[in-house]
Amino acid sequence: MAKTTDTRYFGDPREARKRRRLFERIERLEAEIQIAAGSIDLRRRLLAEDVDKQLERLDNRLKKPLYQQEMALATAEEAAAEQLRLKLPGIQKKQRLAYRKKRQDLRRQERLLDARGRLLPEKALSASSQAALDQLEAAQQQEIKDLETRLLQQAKASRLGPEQHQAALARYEAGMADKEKRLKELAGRLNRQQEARMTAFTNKQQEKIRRFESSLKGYQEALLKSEQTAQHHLPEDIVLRLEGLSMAFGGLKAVDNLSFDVKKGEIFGLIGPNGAGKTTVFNCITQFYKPTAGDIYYRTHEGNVLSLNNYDVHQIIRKGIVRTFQNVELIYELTILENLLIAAHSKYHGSFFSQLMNTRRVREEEMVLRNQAMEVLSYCGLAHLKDIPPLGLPYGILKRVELARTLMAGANLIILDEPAAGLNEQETIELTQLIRKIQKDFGATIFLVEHNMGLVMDLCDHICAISFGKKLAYGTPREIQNDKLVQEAYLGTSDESELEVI
Amino acid sequence: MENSVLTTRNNPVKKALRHPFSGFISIGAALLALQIIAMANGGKWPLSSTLNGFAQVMIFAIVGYGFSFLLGYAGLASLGTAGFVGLGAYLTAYVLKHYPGVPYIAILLGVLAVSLILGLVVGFISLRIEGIFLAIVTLGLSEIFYQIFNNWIDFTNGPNGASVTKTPIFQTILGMGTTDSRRAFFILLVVITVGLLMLTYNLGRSRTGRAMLAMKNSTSAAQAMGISLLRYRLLAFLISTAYAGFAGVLFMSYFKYAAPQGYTIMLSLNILAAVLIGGSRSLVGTFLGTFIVFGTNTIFLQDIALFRDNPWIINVTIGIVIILVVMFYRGGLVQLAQNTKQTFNNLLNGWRMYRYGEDD
Repeated sequence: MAKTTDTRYFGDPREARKRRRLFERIERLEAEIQIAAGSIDLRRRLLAEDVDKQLERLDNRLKKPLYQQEMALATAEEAAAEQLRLKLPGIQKKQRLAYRKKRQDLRRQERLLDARGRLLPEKALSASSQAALDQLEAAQQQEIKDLETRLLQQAKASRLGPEQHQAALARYEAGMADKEKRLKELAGRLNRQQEARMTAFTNKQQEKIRRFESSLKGYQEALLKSEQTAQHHLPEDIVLRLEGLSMAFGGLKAVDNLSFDVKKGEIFGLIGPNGAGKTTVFNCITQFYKPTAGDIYYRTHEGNVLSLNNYDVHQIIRKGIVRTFQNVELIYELTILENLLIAAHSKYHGSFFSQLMNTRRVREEEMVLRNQAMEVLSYCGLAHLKDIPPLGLPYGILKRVELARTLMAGANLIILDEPAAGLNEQETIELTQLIRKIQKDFGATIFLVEHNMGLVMDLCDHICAISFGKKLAYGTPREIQNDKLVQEAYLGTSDESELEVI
Repeated sequence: MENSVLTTRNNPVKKALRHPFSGFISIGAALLALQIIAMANGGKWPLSSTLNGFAQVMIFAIVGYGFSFLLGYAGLASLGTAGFVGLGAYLTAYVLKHYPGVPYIAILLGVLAVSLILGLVVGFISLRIEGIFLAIVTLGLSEIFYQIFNNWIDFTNGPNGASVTKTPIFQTILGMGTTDSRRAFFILLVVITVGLLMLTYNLGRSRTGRAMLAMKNSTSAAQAMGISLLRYRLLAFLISTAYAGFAGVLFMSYFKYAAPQGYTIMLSLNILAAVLIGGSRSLVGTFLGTFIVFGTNTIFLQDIALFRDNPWIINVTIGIVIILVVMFYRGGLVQLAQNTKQTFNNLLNGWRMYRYGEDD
């Protein structure tokens, strides 16, 4: 099914095939380098957290005996207050339950409750019952006060004599100093250990990265040499070029000899009346349909030119082209975070058996990518939803998740199929802002189909209008608005409007 | 004074118990304990028939793990499982009988290779057809296997069934007695079952499991995200047939006998039922489902006269359970357990509300 490479763009076919293989190797190496580099940062953070946790645990353990000593040394008031602080929550909980129980009983006596124990609306306790409740509350407060005085008396009774106090103080200080010393010692040891482990790990990873980079360099040089033999006619600033694209389903020509260019870094809109073949164009670009005729050229992030018809549908994402769908296509059995990880599918490199064994490498890969997914989610303002499946969420959020998915895949060209369909005004505004932000922050080219003319005219740099698969006009939003053919296609000529009436 | 924060956090025991592997290991430990008790008191309790029942459960649970990958993750239906289990069993019997010198591991690998090749064929078929039609095609395949088992006398010994005289490894190499080797093989079976539980769990949580779920939910999204349908459909069938073939080898090694009547569509349906009852994406659920479908009869109900004399009652009960599960609990018993917990919590909250009233 794959077409032979077009010599106009790629020169000698054999060289072109070689270049394609080189691209693939380079892609793989780049992904591996990304994982390795990410794992260094991640490991550093994890090790630091681990050290903190260990130190905290040790601190608590060492403090345990000292705490008793400190309590003995403190003034009677302080000691009593501390005792009370420890006992108060339990007592308060017990009192609250007793109060509520009493109140419920009183309400039941006065028939203020329905069968399920809920308070009937606008009913209040009688004065006598309210008084009984207030009495209980007062008694409970008194109980706490009594406890306080009792604790204070106990504390006063158990205070040490001056000489004993001196001795205890000395012991406490010695213990404290010892604790500090041990803690410092251990912290030093742990830090040294961590540093040693970190250096070893960093060295290993960097060695790996260096190895990858050197072979990457080799590949890139070979690629460059091979590129020189090719004759690229695709201008530098063009990301996507459609040349005479046609797609026929049986006798029906959904797309007919369509050609246009999408420039790098712009927001490009494709518009047309219903059934004009817009989604078919998208499906052809992403190879869901193999075009019946015509070519699609694409410039990757690194500047290599590809003929997309040579690739299978699942290979397209690796070239940096990610699409969204008209009717949001998310995986409802997975959480939102895992939905993002689906988009990172081609960034994983663990083999089948290492996945079975859940090896360290696989875990590392998973952690690095999960981290990355979290970053993308917080960029899109979805971090709070990471652990829930997207089932039953508002449409605006689902569209956002789809956008986040394109970012997760590291898209160079983002194809949006009716991003504002089904959104209310507020959600549309938010989505527009997000699309702008993505274009600005990631330098990605955005190619969208949309029926909401306000959004298209507001957002796009260039627009192509099509009708029945044929190109009507190409230009800036203003030019399109003033175009006669486009107006006719949307509003109909006088003949057609008569037909519609009949 | 901030010194009083003395709570022990990060309790390692609690952390280990939260890990799903602890559940798998406790299943294994319980089964091992049964066998060890039986060894200690000379087989008075539990009876060897009970242990055989558990062995059967373990073997079919292995088939179930593979099948749950196919059904629960990849969303593909197959009714040909019985054929693959039977193939594993018959191949083992044939090789053990005619080529006694072949090492056991070679038999295992050979059966795996044959299963993988057949899995590849079914996988390619699954690329063309889906849903109920795929089920019918695999049913046809299963029927072909049944006819082979029944009629190719030289290979399978026909309707009389194939048998093995000695348990491999333990009886042939280590020279144990019949009972002892069966007990030893039971222990090996427990280890294999728990190991496969862990491996399958890992796989389900890895990118492979996720990719298959994506494929099941939306083929177009999966393809756009770089998941090759060809690769993962084939992989799902390969896993399922490999597990089935492997279980066949284990079945023959433990029970030493296989008759063609055991590998009809009934077995495929039983495995489907076990996976559905347990919960198609949960491994512990699959084990539980297998226990209900394959185990309850041989382990408990055989001792009760009513069920022994009227075996149809059990089948009817299982049928009713399947209907109930499919109608009300699509997630199987695992979902039932979760729902029960939820209901219990709701009841508790209702009682609190009744007793104490609203908190304000």
